[in-house]
Amino acid sequence: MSIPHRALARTATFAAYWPATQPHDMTRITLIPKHQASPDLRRAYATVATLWGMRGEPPLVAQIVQCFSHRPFMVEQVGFGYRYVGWGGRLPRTVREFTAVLVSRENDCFY
Amino acid sequence: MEAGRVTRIAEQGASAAHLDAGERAIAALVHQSVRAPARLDPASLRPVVAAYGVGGALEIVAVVALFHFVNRVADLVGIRSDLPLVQPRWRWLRQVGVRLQAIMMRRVMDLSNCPVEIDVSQALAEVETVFGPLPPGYRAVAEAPNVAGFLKVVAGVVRGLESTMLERVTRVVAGALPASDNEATGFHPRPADPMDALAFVGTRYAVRTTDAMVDAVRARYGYGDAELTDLFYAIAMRNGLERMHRLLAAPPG
Repeated sequence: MSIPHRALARTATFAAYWPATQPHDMTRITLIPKHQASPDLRRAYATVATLWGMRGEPPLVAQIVQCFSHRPFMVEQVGFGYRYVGWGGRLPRTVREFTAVLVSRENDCFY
Repeated sequence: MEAGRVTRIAEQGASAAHLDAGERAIAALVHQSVRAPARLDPASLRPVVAAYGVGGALEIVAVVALFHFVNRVADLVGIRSDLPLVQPRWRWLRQVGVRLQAIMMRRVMDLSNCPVEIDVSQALAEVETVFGPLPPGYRAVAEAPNVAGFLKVVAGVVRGLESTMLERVTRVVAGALPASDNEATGFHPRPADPMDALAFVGTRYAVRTTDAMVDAVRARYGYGDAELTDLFYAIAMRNGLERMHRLLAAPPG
């Protein structure tokens, strides 16, 4: 029996990112993953997933979004801000990615 | 961007990749925004305007501001990568991880550009009610409406932050912005107050933030996770805005 390519890709994605969906005790504030989120926070995560065009169910909630999990309003607004800068405008995505990678590299930011 | 190129730049910096004139202009701007942001001025933006036009340059300024924000939030909170393969110890594993991450991003996200419809004048007016009068260069934002949207969103969050904390962070960040390589990378005495010290380190070298620095803020101010979230946001946001304000002190170009 052959395993469908899409199912395999979905399983691999889930396995690779699974640790990011778990509660973090190594960070300086607690990050609240989706399955422990209040209804407000869950709605905020869903808004971000829609804004960022996340495919798949359940959508991944990146740690940078979870950094604001104690302020659901902030989660949504950061999602909107990222959307404006990352998806709005006319520059090719490659130019924006190049700039973002360079800033992170020069800041020595591992994330 | 091609995954191999991302990996080379992330591992070795811009010098590792063949850059065209526009990319060299961006690399110089980014370098100055990290090593000597206190010296940024409209002249720093001119080569980027020459390569990408006023609208493109404004979009690049917004990306620079956003990623100074994102990097600081990540380092203040202490997150690493969403993908555990991307770790600091084993380079080959990290390179595999970065490539995998690029593939995953394309699979799980729609990465195409979307047009932005926003009343730019109204957005800037709203932003000025929060931040006060903006430098003259912001009038050019009409050529990059998405940047006006970004600023409006930031202003919306800032409106809800506690004013004493915000004023304090604004003052410390402006004073701590590095003006030289030494200020960006050396070792310097930190302010005695734990909140000032966190804003200082978060501005100069956020990657050096320690658990003890954050614990000291908790102890002195009785902050919990929610208040610390506000503080991290304020430090990171001011770092993005200080750079934007300096670059847009005069109309670009």
